[in-house]
Amino acid sequence: MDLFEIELNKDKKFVGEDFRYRRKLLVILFVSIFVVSVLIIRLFYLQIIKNRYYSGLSRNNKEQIIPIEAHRGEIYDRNGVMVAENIKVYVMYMIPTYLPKNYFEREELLYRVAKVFNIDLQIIKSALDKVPKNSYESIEITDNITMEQISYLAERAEEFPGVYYGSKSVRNYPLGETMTHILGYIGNISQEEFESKRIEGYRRNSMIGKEGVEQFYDKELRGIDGYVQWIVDSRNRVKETISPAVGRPIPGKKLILSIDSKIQKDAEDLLYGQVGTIIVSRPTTGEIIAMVSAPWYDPNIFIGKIDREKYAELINNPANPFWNKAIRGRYPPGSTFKLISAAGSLAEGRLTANTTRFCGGGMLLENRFYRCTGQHGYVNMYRGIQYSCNTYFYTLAYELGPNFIKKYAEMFGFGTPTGIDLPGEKIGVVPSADWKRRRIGEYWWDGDTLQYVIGQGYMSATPIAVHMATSAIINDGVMYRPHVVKEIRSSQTDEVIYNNDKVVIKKLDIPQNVFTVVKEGMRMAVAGGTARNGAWSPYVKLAAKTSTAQNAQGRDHTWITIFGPYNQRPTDDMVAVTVMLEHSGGGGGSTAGPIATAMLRSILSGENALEVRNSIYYRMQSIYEQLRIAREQAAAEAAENGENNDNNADEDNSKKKRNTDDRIKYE
Amino acid sequence: MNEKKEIKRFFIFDFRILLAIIFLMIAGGVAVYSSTYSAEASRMSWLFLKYLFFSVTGLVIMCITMFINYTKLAEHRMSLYIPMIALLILVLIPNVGTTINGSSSWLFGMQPSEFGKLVMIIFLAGYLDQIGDKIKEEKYFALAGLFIVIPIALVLMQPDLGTVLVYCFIVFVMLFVGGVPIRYILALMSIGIIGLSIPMFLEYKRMSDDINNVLFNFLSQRIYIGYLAGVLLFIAVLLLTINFYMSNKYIESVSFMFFVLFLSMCAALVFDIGLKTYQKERLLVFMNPQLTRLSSGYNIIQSLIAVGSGGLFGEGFLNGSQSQLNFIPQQVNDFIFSNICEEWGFVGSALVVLAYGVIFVRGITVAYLAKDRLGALIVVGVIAMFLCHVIINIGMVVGMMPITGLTLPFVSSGGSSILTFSMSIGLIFNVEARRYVH
Repeated sequence: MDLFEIELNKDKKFVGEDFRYRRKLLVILFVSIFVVSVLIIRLFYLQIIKNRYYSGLSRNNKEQIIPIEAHRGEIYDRNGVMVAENIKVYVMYMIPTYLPKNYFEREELLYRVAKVFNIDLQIIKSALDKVPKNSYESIEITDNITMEQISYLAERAEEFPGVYYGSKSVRNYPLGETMTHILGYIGNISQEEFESKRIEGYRRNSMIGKEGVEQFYDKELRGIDGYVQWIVDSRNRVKETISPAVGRPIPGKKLILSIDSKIQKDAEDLLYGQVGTIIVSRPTTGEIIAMVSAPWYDPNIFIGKIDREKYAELINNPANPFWNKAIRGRYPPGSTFKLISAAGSLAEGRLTANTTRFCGGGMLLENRFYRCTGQHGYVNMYRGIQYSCNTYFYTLAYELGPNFIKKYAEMFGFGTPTGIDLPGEKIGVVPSADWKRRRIGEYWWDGDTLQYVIGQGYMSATPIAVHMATSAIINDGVMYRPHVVKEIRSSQTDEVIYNNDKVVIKKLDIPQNVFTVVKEGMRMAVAGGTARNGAWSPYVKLAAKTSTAQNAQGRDHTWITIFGPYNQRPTDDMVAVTVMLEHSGGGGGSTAGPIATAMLRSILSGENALEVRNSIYYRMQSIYEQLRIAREQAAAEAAENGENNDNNADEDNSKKKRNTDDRIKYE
Repeated sequence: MNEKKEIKRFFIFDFRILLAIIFLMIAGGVAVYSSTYSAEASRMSWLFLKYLFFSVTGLVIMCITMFINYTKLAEHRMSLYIPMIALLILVLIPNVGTTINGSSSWLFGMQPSEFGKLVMIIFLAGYLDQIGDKIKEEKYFALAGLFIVIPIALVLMQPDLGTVLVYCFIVFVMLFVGGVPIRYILALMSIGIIGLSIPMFLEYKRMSDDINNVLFNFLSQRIYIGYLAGVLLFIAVLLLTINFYMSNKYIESVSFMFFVLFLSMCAALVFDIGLKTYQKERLLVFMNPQLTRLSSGYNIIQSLIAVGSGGLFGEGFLNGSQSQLNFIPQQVNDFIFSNICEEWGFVGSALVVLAYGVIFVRGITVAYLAKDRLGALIVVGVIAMFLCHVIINIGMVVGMMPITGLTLPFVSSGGSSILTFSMSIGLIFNVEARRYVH
């Protein structure tokens, strides 16, 4: 038992007791007691005093609320054609942590994916660079992958570790470019939108309507997002679902537009290649059947990844395809404003429809000659509207003063938004002496009044405002709210939640016979006035007012506001059309007129719109041709007749010449 | 003295320490089971079985250690020291030692540096006991320093910063108790502190991108530190030469101070070149856990959340979300205490700390009552080792210490660690059982 032998300290140098080190042991004892008490105090501080704080942090760590996007409501046109839908697309995504760890294998895989699936390698890499290499997050690589590629990937899944496929729902507009300005598009929420709307339940990665109906009715369309509450572990893997049933998403409501996609398509065909806008509506309900602003764009370019080239092309277009000119463009209304002047001056009661003034080709005021479209002789209210006689209205304005124009312009809705259910509506300018002093810094001249009454000068209006003023005249003074969404329906039960039709904004305090006079004037313009060639309609009675609005920027804008079938009182089958062509030149009757008439005739009597327009063009051409031949013949005859009939011939000639010229220019 | 009486004496050991150890082993077993538990796998985890095996083995080895006379051990210290050095060198050979987490300290599943601590304690205790008061002479102190520096340098080369800290702590405590003058200890400490703080300062400035700084620009050039060291050495030598003629006590101490500063600068250079960036970061994160939120700071924050959410009685066995959902990294080894804190609350964690307190107090009592200086030094070394592990590990979990991969005695599931601590407790019992034997 040598092992248990206790030996004395043989090699010890200091025999005897040398216990000086014991004092130092006390220091170690104190140190260890100190350490133990510090640790216990620290534990007490963390676990008892700060318990609430750390419990909260712990809960934050493990609980994760995952939103479930609600199904966005579909949009249909008035005939039940789907115009905005959600489609499933296949997406390819990668989970970085399951990709090969080895650098070369990883690069090789990414290169192979890029080659096989025809994706830019840089796009894949930049998408993967946003997250750490061991992340469990799924990174979307592309959403533009076909079924064949999916099946290829599915068959060779082991050759592509970490590459997966799935599907997601994206917004699609099946009609493409048709009614872009009405539908708008959706996109990721911007920072400003998020800050102002987070109270309404938007999240940082929500999709939000950016334009048109998608924006205006975003609240109805988006529904209510649901959520699941998960317990996740440190790598964000779901361990359990706490409350699967708490927040089931409520799908958004579906919208029935008052737009007729066929008419809309016709309208777009009619406007193709021009810059302008066309508004077709039923004045007796306020429904807008078609509304086109040309040029336009395809909203599908905003879904998914934006095509830069196309976008640059659109944004550099001087005609601004993103701008819905029908509600945002401000143009001088020109002669269409005479309808309001006429209604206003009659409503004032200072003159009647038969008040007659003489038109000698213009009016001289303060050393300046204000021209008329022609020499109309003695003109009453009907003929003033029929021939769009400036002189007649100059005289009225000179007699009545500018304030009555302002009063009735505002009454008919100029200068205030019409309340159409599209975002971004602009308002035109209704000038007054006060306005001019403030904005321009000059006093109001009488000349300004003369410009004002024919819708020129400082006056400006949006096409929708002009259209609604015409509708008010058609409706004998009842103004309905214009709308593009007819009904909001529940997407589950299909019951109508809200109907937009016949929402009265206001009733104008103007006697009915005033409107009768104005409408008769408009009818006479089609029958034998400014619109007699442009608004040629052998089967349906139409009534119109044309306008050629001069402007400083370029050629004239041309307008026509037209309705039919003509009746002195509003009937339910009436359709009103307003066409505005930007810088088209020519006359309102000859450029905008055929478009609007073709539109109306195709709606009312079912003719082909393009054919109707072409036939009107053809007819106009032949009329002008005949007139030209007649004029040349007359000139030849006059030359043959010699000196005898000099006076007569001259008179005849000049009259004919003036007539044709004016027709071409001012109709 | 007959043998029977001797054998009886061996069983008069401190049962309080044994109770504390058994309590710690139970706590560790529960914690290891909980942190390796997963609802999917119904079997007990391999780590838990490993822990059970090593705990039982540890108890057996503790009994064996009790019966080896510590005086004999100290006598044959060289035959322990040389194999240790050999093993520590062997670990560093690339294909022999296994590299885990960037430090190659494993040899056949064991860590020689763990057992090295024990060898270091026995060796230093034997050496200090043998030379006695002569340690106050520079020659013997330098010799002791050489013996100490070799294993520390080898461990630093692995590199295992935590173990180096433990070695240093053990050495300081033993030198302190062994009668080394305070100024030597202070000198050594200042060399360590200044030598570490210069690279730390540079790394901190680099991380916080605040590099338009005169001090930084000066120190970041290693050659300037070299110049500084040269200047300090020159001053020290100058003062020593003056002292040779004047023999003034103050001049001598000032000369010593400059020499220490020179050594500090050399140490700074060594640390700056030798320490890897992640090691510097680990030390820095201690100063500011928010500095690197997702790498090292993440561990501290998650650990603090686990500790803090425990409350008074904890969230219950297998109910701690931080540990069950793996938010705490390395929870079987380094962060095992946060599991105890979360699942057993303040009561459980304070009991564990108190169990260590019992070991400290009873261990120092054993050292106080030891029959000779050798026994006292061995026990003090063991206590220092425990103290260092407990301070650093628990301090790390509660956010008071930098993150170093140190185990918690008897609770962490490291095989070498449990065996080493069992042996060291065996040494305490060994010393205690022989205290009346002369």
